[in-house]
Formats: sequence, C-alpha cells, structure tokens
Amino acid sequence: MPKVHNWQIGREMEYPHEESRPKRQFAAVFDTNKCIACQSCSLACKGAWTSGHGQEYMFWNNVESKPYGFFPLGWDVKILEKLGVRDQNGPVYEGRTLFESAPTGERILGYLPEESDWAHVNVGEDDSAGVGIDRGVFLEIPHMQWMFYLARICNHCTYPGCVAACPRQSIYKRPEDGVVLIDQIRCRGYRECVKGCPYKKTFYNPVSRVSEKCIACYPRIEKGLISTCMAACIGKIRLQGFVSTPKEAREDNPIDYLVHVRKIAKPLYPQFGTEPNVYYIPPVHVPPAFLAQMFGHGADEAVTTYREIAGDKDLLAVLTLFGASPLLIHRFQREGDLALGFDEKGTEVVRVPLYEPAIIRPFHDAARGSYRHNTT
Amino acid sequence: MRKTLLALALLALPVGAAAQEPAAPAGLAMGKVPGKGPISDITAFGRATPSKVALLPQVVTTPQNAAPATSALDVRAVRNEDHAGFLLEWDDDTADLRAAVDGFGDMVAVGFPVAAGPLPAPFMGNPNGRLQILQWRADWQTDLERGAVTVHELYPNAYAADLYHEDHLPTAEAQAYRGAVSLGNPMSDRHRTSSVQDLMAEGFGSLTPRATQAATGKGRNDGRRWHVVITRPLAATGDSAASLAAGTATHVVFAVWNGSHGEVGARKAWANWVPMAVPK
Repeated sequence: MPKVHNWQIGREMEYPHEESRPKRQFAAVFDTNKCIACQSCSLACKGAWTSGHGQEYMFWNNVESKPYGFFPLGWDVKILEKLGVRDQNGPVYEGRTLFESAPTGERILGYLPEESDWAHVNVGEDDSAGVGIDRGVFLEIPHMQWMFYLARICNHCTYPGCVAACPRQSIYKRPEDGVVLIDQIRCRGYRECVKGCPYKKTFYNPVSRVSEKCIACYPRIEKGLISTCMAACIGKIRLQGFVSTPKEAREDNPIDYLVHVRKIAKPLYPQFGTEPNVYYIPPVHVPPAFLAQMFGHGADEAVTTYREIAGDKDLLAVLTLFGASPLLIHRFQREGDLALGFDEKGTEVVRVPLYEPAIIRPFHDAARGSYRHNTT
Repeated sequence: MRKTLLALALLALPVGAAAQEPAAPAGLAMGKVPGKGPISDITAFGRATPSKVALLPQVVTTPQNAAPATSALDVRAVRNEDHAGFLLEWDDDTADLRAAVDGFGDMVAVGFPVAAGPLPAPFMGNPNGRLQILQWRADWQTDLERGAVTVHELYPNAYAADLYHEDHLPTAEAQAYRGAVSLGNPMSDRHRTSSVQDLMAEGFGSLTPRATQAATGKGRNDGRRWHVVITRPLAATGDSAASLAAGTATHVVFAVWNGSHGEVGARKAWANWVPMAVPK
C-alpha cells in the first residue's frame, strides 16, 4: 500500500492511493463557541440539495449536541471503539489510523450504520429522558456540567475514507479545489463509502439507488461564493476558504492563519488519518481530555489562545471576517481597528471594524427631565 | 438425471485455455428447445441436464467476502433458434427484494468471454480480456412487479415531505438536483424494462453497462430457494458482447449475492470458468 504524508498526524501513513494533493484545498473553520444550533445551516443545505425523493433522511450538514448527540446515532463513539480510542497527544500520532487498522480483506476499518441510526437527527438530544428522572432532571454521568454544539459537513478530506473504500473509483477529489464528489453515473450503490467514511457523511439514496454526499456547493465556489451552509449561518461561526500544507502556509490566508500560524483551529478526530479539512475552534468550557480526543494535539493551547483574543488584534481581525461576506476571502489584512478581506484577484470585498461603536447614554436625560432605566 | 459436480477442481482450469476449444466432458451441457425469442418459461429447462457449480469466497480483491452465504449453484442451460437461457437455482430462505438504506438485494450473474483466445480472469476480466456479464437483480424485478421504488414503500411510516422541489421545477431546472436520475444511471431508472443488466468488465472496478441491453430474466423465491432465468440472444449484439453461436464452445462464470448477508459488489460468491458447448 502506498505511503502518504499526513501533516495532521505528523507522519507518513498507509493509504490505498498515491498522494495527490489538489491545486488548492477547500477548507473551513467553524467556531464551536459561537454555534447555537439554530440549524439554519442544516435547513439551507436541505432546501438547496436534499429535498428530493430518497433524500428525506439526509442531512449533508447537521448540527449535533455533544457529547450526547450524534447523526447517525453514535457515529464517532462507534468508530472510536473499533479503533481502540487512541488519542493524538503530541505532534506525531503514535497509534494506527483507520487505514492502518483495516481488517483482512478490507480497505479501511469502518461499519455500516443501521437504518434506525439515521432516524432521529437532532431530536431529543438536549432533553433528559429515560429511567430514573422521575424527580426532576438528574443525570449521573460524567458530562453533567458541559455540552456544546458541533456543526458538521463533509470534511473533503485529503485522504478520504470514502475514496479509499470505493472499489469502483466512483469517488474523486476535484484537482482544482479538493472537493470530494461521488460520480453519479459510475456509482452502483455498494455503500462501501458509507461504511468507510468515519464521519458518516456519505448517504445512500434508496430511490436513486446510488450514494450521495455534500458537494461543498461547488457551483458557488466556482463563482467565488461561499457555500450555502456557510452563507446561511446567522451566528457567523464559519469562515470558508482554502487551506495549505504547513510548508506552504501563507500568513495572509485567513484559514492558514487560524490553522497553521495561530494553531487555534483543529481537525475533527485527526487520529482517523483522513486529514479532514473542516477545522474547529474548540469549545472553551470542555474538559481537556475530551478536547484532546476530538480535536487532537494542541486543542488545549487553542482554547488558551482563544481566551486571550480580546487583546490579540490580528486574530480578532480574522475572526471578525467570519460570516462577513458571501464571497470567498482569499487574503486578509488588518488596518488599525479594521479587518479587510480580499477576493482571489486581490480586490477588497469586505471591510469590518474590530469593535462595534458603543455609546453610553447618561443615566439622567436632561432634555426630558427623566431617568433612563432599562425597563422603560 | 445425472448431476455433474463442477467443484473446486475447476480452480485448476488454466486461465489461457482457448475459448473456442470443445467443451470438456465435465462442462455445462446446454440443451436445445424449439421456438424463437427470449426463454423466460422455467418449464423450458425441464429436460436440460443440471450441473452443480461450486461457489467460492471472493478473497482476491478488496473488499473480500471470506464467508459467503451461498456455496453451490444449480445451473441448467438451453437454447432455441435464436436465444440462450440459463436457469440458476440456489438456497436462500431470505428473499431480499428491495435495497433499503442498510440492506441489499439478492443477485445472480452469468459471464462470458467476449473474444476467442485466452480466457480472461474469471472474476471481472482483465485488460484486453473482456467479459460480458448478465446480472439479474431482485430489486429491479420488484420494480417491474410493483413499480419503481418509493420511500413510502420502504418506510411506510416515514414523514411525508410536503414539497419535493424536483416535482415542481421545470424539467430542465430540476435536472441539476436529481443526480443519478437525471444523468441516466441505469441504477436509478424509474421506467426499467428488464430485471437483468447487460454489462461488460475488463478488470476489477471496471464493470460498465453496455450500450446495448439485450438480456431479460425473471426470478422466483419459493421461501427456500431462488429460481432465476436469464436469457439473451445467441448472437453478439452491440460492442463488448459474447457470441453463443450454435455449434461453438465457450466458457461461463457465475456469481451469487445474498443481500441479507451484506453481499454486494465484490462481496460475493463466485465460480470459476465452466466449459459450455452450444449445441448445433
């Protein structure tokens, strides 16, 4: 099996295909601290791409409540259990990836979810239910004091599990932007990709009898626009762009700045070995051990950096550009207290103040001879 | 009737034997029946000599199927004036008629070498060694019997979506949202006319529908076994087609998939080349 370099795990690894990186790689950074699970992203995607027959259960974009929520049920704990729950606690991952853990006769360690696993997307995740709570809400499990929302789309991995698993080469990465697509003519619905994707972001359509997945709204990317789920995010938790390898990272590329320069955005389960390209700013209130498992090495340091952002104007500038424009921002710069974003041709497309103007009105309104209260 | 056991010994059949050599005595004995046209009536096989073909685990390419559900296939073959027919029977007490989100349909396939000369690899052929493969699919037959599959047939209690955009947009605009359906992937055909797909292959991962679809078939599960008839013209029709001309000798391969066992694609039970003479 060929050896490829996965910078996220800091070493070479086995992968069924040769290393072949695209000209540029679709990427996004999601700030988990800002997500309120309003599901605007999920519905924007649903309305745009999965309103067809056989797509009823599909959510190419979903938001789940961690640690209790999953779509499909138990997707991450199931594959972590199969893999052996190995965390990446240093720059180099010492455990085995899903490719290196493939059972005899398989291309990747995976499993096919049962149909009922798809049945309850974001239903009841935030509710206390079950036995033993007849005297009010009471859960005696370790995660009582914290939770957070995890928005998920296809990670358009550099080494996709779906691409590795498909025996027909029906799935490919576009060389121009690294978007992973299922060839809708070649696919024969084997569901090897559904088994092989550890993030469970390929979906079988039982009416068209082929598999489908997030296409990163590539027709929008081709026009310089951000994807629909990103554009619909009212919490402005998302920034879309292109990520470089560490060696080629550009400090003025907002994604590179967050991922490589400031190391504040982390991949989801890097130990899988797929080099996923959606990065997360970890939640600040979650136990470090959990963050280490989910976001790998350096998640704790990312939280520390994030907590000190108020005095960090360059970092603040990039975060200010989240959700600031429907156009893809290829380059950013800070001018004083302004964050500027530029498109691929270098044209300024957005200019946002780092701080919103604050006006404090005096308690006594002399003109009206009255006092201002926040209740009047 | 004498049953010919084409067991593991067939594995020793040299790949490279000429496709047009006379059939070995242990080969599949094709019978002859009167008439013309597709042979869809199972009674046409009444006088054909049955052969028991051993099925083997697919452990050559990934993903593998080390423990297939089916170990033997009973095969009978006949021809009439212009068509050949194959009756394929095997034990399967779980008829998988539909492929739901986590399920697979039952299938069986018969393959032929496209060209004379060295036999292609028996699995899926090889470069310059093409196979024509006829695959009967239980879910396609169910389409013919019940109509194209719907979500509410698979999941009667599913919420009814109140608006399917693709049903309301003008056809040209809807095409962009219909994926495989609008691109004409045969898997997604909503108006199919055959339960058998006519394919070619020249190596692992190369299976491709032929431009000419010339095969039909019909299957029945009696609660214990599948009884499937696949029929095709004797003449080669279109590109990448094998001829079964009267008086010639060739070889055939078989594969069986049990949907309940998670068998699909390369996860199958397969049989090596079986010699077959087409009677004059």
